[in-house]
Amino acid sequence: MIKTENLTKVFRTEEVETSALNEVSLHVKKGEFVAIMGPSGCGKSTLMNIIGLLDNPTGGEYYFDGAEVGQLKERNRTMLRKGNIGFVFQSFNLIDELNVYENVELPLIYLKLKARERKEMVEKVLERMKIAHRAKHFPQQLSGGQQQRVAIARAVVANPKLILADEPTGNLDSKNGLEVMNLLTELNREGTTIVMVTHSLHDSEFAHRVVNLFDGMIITEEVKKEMGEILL
Amino acid sequence: MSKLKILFRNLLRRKLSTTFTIASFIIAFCCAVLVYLYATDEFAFDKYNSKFGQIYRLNVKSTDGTGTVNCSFPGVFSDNLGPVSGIGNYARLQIGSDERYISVNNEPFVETDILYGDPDVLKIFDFQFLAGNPDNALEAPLNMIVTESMAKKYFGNENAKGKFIHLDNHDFTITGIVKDLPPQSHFKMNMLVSVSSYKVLNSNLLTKWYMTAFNYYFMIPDNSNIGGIEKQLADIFATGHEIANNDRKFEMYLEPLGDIHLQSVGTRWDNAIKGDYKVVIGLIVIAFLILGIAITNYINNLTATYRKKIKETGIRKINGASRFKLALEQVMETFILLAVSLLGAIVLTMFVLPYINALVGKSISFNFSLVVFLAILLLATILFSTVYPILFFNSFNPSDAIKTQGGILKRKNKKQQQRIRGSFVIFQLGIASVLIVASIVINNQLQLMLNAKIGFDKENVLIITNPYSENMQQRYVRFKSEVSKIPLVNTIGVTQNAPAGYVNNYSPGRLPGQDKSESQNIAQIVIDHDFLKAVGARFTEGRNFDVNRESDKKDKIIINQSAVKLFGLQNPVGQKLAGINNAFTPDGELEIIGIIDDMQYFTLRETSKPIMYFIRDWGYSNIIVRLNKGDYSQAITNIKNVWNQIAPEYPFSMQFMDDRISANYKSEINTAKIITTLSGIAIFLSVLGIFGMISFTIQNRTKEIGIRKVNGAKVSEILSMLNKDFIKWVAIAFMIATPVAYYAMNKWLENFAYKTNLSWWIFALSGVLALGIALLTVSWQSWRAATRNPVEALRYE
Repeated sequence: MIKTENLTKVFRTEEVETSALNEVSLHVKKGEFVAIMGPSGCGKSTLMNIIGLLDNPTGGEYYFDGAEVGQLKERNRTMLRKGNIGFVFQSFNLIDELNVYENVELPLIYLKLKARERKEMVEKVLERMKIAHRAKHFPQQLSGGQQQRVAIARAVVANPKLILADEPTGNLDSKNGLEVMNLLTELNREGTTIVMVTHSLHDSEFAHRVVNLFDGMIITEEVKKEMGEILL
Repeated sequence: MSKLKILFRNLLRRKLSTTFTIASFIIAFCCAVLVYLYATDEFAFDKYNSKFGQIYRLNVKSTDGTGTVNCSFPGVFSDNLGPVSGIGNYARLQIGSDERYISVNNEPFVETDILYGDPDVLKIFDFQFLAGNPDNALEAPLNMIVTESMAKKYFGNENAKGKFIHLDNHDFTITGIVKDLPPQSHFKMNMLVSVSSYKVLNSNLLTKWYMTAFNYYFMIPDNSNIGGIEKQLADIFATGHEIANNDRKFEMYLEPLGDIHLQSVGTRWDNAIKGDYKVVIGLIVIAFLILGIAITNYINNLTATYRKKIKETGIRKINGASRFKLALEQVMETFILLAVSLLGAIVLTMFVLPYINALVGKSISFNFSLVVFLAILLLATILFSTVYPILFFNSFNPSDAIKTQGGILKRKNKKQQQRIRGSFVIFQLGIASVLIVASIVINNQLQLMLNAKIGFDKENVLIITNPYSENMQQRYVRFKSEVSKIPLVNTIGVTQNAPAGYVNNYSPGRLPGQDKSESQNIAQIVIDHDFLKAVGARFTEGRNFDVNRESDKKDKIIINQSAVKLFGLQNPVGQKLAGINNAFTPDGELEIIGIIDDMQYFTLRETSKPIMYFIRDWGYSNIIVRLNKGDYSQAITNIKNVWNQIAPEYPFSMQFMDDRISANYKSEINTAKIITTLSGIAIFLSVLGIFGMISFTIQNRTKEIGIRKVNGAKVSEILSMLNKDFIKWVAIAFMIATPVAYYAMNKWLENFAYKTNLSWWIFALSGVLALGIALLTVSWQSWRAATRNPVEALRYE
């Protein structure tokens, strides 16, 4: 599903060059649930951005679903991202001006689906995330846990192959955090590949495999559990 | 003091927006001050007269459908006014702005603005006598009054009273010296000659009903019945002209002195200094609108930084600041900004005033009333600039205000804010569109008047004045034969009345066989064989006069298209017109040999006149010289040398034809320049406003843009999202601006008989321009926002 070879990312400002990723080679199989851990500034988010096709690497290769995508233009990255990758953020990143329903509908609009189709898909996912009763509410009117459920609903509504979760429980209390982790696990069981950045050891226990990143390099990888029948 | 310090610190911190605001207000205040000075000057016309409210000028308006208004009356009319009841003093005044040849101590000069007036002119209008007796200065023939500056010009420090000025072959005695008239007088005056002088010079002017030369001014006591007086005057006029009651095609009306300058754009034969009421009102409105744009920019700026401001306000409120105090602080802040801007505007005005004066031909200067105006301007602007922001900021509950960083504004408020901003943009773009339309229409109309409809080839043509005197014909013949030898000279001809000027001879004409009562007035102009060629007239049928055909000089005429239409002629060449003055044929019949396009006499404010041209050897007043392309300066020097040899007693007076045409439309050309400049300013300020608005919009939507991009939005989709609102606003502005512009321009075009079309493309173009301006301003920033990596926007807060 995801394969990176010697991925590097260098940020240049006028005078300083910062190397955020240093020859990272990572392999994520289809259906796998991988947690990336490491201290602040170790390059987790940079790696996520590249995997999520939000950013290009400075060097190395990146294969997404078998195709080299490391040097794609923004336009093509957007095309590929649409419908294939869903994002979940620590700070939820919902649009304040849109209600729950409209927030979830967003990716479908950019996929140019018809209104009827969209309605069906949004309603289904809202049911599933147990927030259908909040469809007309606006983000400010929801609790943190509810907001993150909306964000997950938005991430999965288009049935993406990959979900990237960037500290999805970081802004939640333990009860809501657990709920979110259960949701992600459930999605993973149904076949969605998940890559999650986290600080939390507890959360990382849900993953099949934990990759430890330090100063832009992978230092250890540990397999937590087998992938079972989904493993290909 | 510490409060002031904080205020200044606040302003300095928002450097960019403070600069924008001050720049906008400097420009807007400068416009307001200039328009105020201009308008007060326009409205002050003739008010220096102590009897201002009681002075009227007599006008006659045709009711034959043309609606021509004329204020030139025969001198003999005055002799018949004795029985008119309800009037006070009245006087004839002939206002001539033409160049006249005078001599003082045998030295020739060209002078303008030599007027002829009855003694009562001195009782009606205010003149400040420096020497002489107002009671008898204009009594006797060949007496004249001169202004102080004329006395200085011709006699230096000597006492000019009792001295002579030679004019029209007579010596005129200076019987009075008056102060120069203020610039706000509807007539200019250098010399004022007694009307009785015409008894000596040309008594026809005082005795014949068909010789119209004078404006009539009346003093009318406040309680008089104006309508009754008008009727009495009309009856006397009709009787004098032997017009039967049911044949009357005119109305008399008395025009208040206050209306002459601003409300009589189209009136003919008055040589008054004209302004245009519509243009003055238009300028006042535009000045207000530009100020409105600056105010909306400011309000926008203030409320756009609402997040910070609300937090500040909230904390202050919690710490005990009263609403009143907060409002006061806002007012103080605005006051400082506006006061600085106002000072800047005054300085800017001082710099541009000389240019404006040169442009509009005035000598406006700062005066005391300006102080009052500035105070009112400042207070009103502060009021309009602060009411909404104060209400807006006070509407937040202090506890809400400090609670969260984002999403302080409730969605409802946000929508309302969005609507208010939308209406600001609509307002600004609407004004810009109206002004764009106005600029295009006014410039089109100018194009029409200066080029499209003049009816002859105005390029490379000189007009040389041949002074009226006994030997003017011989002088012309000699001049022509000499000038023809100058290499660059193509053709030289002569005419009684040159185009882009006036026609002074009208007579009734009719078709042979028609009854005299069916006659219609046709203008008659004497020319020589070469005039039509020299001026570049366009023949549509027939031929020009031919020197080799003896009869061409006697009974042949060339007429213009309007004359063909007037007499309803089919195949006009070869047909005859009858009853024409100056015809040497029995029955006064003249044969038409050629038809030309209407050449533009007077201005396009009125319809073209039917004209006939014929050959005679008198009235050689305007020499027309057509030059070939090349270096004129040498040719003109040569022509001038010839003149000085042939007519050393007359100064050489020459004008290019296209300058002469432009001079006729000076006020329109000025209006075009002013409106074009003001639309530029309005557009500039709108761009500043839109620029500020989109910056804040994007600032507030950075996160949203990021989220949308992460969820699959393409750059183009983000762009269209950001630009969509502006397109909508432009569309609404366009819908509002179009009828307004259409109405205003229609009103302005009423001044002209020949109007440019208000075609759809002008409005479409202004819409496209407004859209272009808005989108360019917006897109520059929205493009940057849309192409930014969303990751940056979504970094953890």
